[in-house]
Parts: sequence; structure tokens; C-alpha cells
Amino acid sequence: MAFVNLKKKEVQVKVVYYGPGRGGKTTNLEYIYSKFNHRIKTEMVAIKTHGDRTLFFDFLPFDIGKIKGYDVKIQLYTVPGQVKYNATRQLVLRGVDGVVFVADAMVVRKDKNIVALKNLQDNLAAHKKNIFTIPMVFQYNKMDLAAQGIPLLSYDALERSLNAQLKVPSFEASALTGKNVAQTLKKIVSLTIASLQKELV
Amino acid sequence: MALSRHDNLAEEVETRLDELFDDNDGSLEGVEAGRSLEDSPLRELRAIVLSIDWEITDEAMTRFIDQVDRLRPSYQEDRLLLAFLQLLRPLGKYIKANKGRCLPEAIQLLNSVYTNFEKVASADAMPREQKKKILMAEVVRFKELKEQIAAHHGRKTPQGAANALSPPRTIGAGAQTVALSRADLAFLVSEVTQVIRAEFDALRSELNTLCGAR
Repeated sequence: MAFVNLKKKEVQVKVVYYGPGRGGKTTNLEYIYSKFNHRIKTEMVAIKTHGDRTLFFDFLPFDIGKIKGYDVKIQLYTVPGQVKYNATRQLVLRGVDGVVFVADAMVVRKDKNIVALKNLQDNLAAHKKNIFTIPMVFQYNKMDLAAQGIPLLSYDALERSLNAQLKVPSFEASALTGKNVAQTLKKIVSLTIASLQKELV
Repeated sequence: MALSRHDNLAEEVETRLDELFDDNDGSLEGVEAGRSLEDSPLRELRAIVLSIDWEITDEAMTRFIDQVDRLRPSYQEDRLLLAFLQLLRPLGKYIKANKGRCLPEAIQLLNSVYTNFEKVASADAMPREQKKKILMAEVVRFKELKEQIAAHHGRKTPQGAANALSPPRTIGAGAQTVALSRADLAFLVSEVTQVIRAEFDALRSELNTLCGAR
């Protein structure tokens, strides 16, 4: 549930980038930060281990200005994708309002995507949230690798294996080059704010 | 009425987001244009370097070293290009041996040496002096990395463990670090504290389970 401060007319929206390890969640936030920092004027915090993997979470807060008289603040988080950090993932999901599931389009990662999606469902359920009702967007990442001859799952195959039941918006993307990174962000933020309309209007 | 309110809200949000995140030049084409290696002997090596960027596996690193060895005869006549390959090989071997435990600078250096190798190898018009300069910059970085590795191995375990974490960093600001606001910092500290607590709780219960199973 978003944090709404009626007195200060302020809304905090929490969006979490979820998905398998090495799928490109941090790269999404890094791209957003490096590309739009001059407009969103913020700082990004990332805490990493030696191998450059996310240890706790990445955090990128920014304001989008006043909407319906409310000051809307967006907080983007990533979770560590490695299986062993489930307690952290569960904690980061506390109070989540919207989820971007960053799937890895490489053929060899098909099963890891499914495991991570199931893990998301379980961890949301632990916070009494339903994967079928929470605002969510799929991002099928690493599409740039096709040019290097690395076998990738097709958009249809990814839709079938991950989005057949959820039927949420989805994007083919490359977090490394920025393709559809902003579109993914815009979609999840607008879906999430729309879901909060009762509090705002 | 409710629907019209909803539409207004959605419209307002979308306009605001378009203003903030207008991204016309973020396409794949923009980045990859002019870098086709269709018929180049480097095509395979570039694919491996890109895959290493996503995940370091034994297989990828073995392929990397093999590919560097395979390329050596092709550049035997050009000592400058050969020198790039001579830098890439030990980097590959170090990363293969240490994988996730290797210094992050090693992966950055591998990427940088490869990118410059590709640049120099494909820029026929570039003056030799400029190519030499690029190579020398990589050699200097390579030597610095060697020293870092030696220093890292020289440390005793407790200090080494303390250094296992890179300090929090601000990305994209180059060498400049921009301070977070007090509120953001306080918020982050409380979040990190809770995360650590949760990880310890999980670890504790795992240990209890293991002890109970004995």
C-alpha cells in the first residue's frame, strides 16, 4: 500500500524490479539514472559484493511533481536475484505497490525465470498481496544479445511461459542499450498510480 | 464521473512521465550502429565478452581463452594488436580462476581492453601513435590491477573479509559523489539494518534446523 500523507499531501509509491540473478534489474536502474538524472535530479544507491552482484538492494528515489495536488514520490528498488538472498527479497517487497519482472530472454535462463516468478508469487503472498492483482509489467531483457548469435527465447515463447495467466503489459528490452527501459518504467508507474486513484481523487 | 476522473488522472500522469522520461535515442540501433563485425575474426570474441558481462562461467572463460589463442596467428604481423591479446589472456585466466571472487576491476579492464582492441583493429585510418597511446593506457591499467591483486592476496583474512564489500557508490556521477539527503540516508540505514536483521534471522533458523536434524 502506497504511503499517503493527507496532511502534507504527499504520496510515496514503491516499485520493485524483480527477477532472476544477472537478469538486468540493476542495469535498468543504472540506465534510468545515467540517462535521466538531469531531469529527475536524484542519486542512486547500490550496494554490491566483490563480484559486482547486488547484495542488499539498489535504491533510486525521484519525484514526478504534483498530481491532483499531491506531491508524488516514486521509489525504485531492485532485489538481489541470487536464490540465497530470499529474506532480503521478501523484506524489499514490504509495502510494494508495483512490480517490474525483469526476465532473462536467454534460452538457457528459461527455468530460472519461472523459478523467480514463482518466488515472487510466494513472497507477495507472505505480505498478503496477490500476484494477479498487483500492478505488474514484464520486461524481456537482453534482446541485444540476438545480434551476437546468442540463442534467445522469442517474444511469444516468453509470453507463453511467463505471462499466459497474468496477461500484464510486456516489453522486449535491452537494459544495456536502454531499449524500452523508459517505456517499462512509464508503464509501471502509470499502472501503479492508476491503482491508487481512490486515495488520490 | 468516476471514469472521467480516472481518465484525467491517467492523462496527467502520462504527460508528466513523458516529460521526464522522453527517450527517443535509447534504441538498440543508436548504440550498435556502425559496429557490425559480421565478417570480422573478432565476431566470436565479442560475443563471448558480452556473455561474460552477464555471467562468468567456466565454459565462457575457457571459450574466451581459446578464442584469444586462436586469434594470435591472425595478428602475428602486428605487434601492437598482438599486445592487446597478450593483455586479454592473463585477464581471462585470472577471472576464470576466481570468478565471482575476482576484483571487479578485472572485469572492467577486460571489457575496456577488448573494446579498445576492437577499436584499434578496425580503425585502419587511425595514426599508429594514437593506437600506441591507447595500448599504453591499457598496459598501465593492467599493471595497476596486478598490484591491486598482489595487495589483495597479501591481506590477512579478517581485513580481507572487511574489504569484501565495496563501499556504497553513486552511479553515473563519475568521480563526483553527491550526498544523499538526511531523510534518504536515515531511511536507507533503517532499511539496511532491517535487511541485515532479516538475513541473520534466516541464517539462525537455518542453523537451528540443521542442528535439529542431527
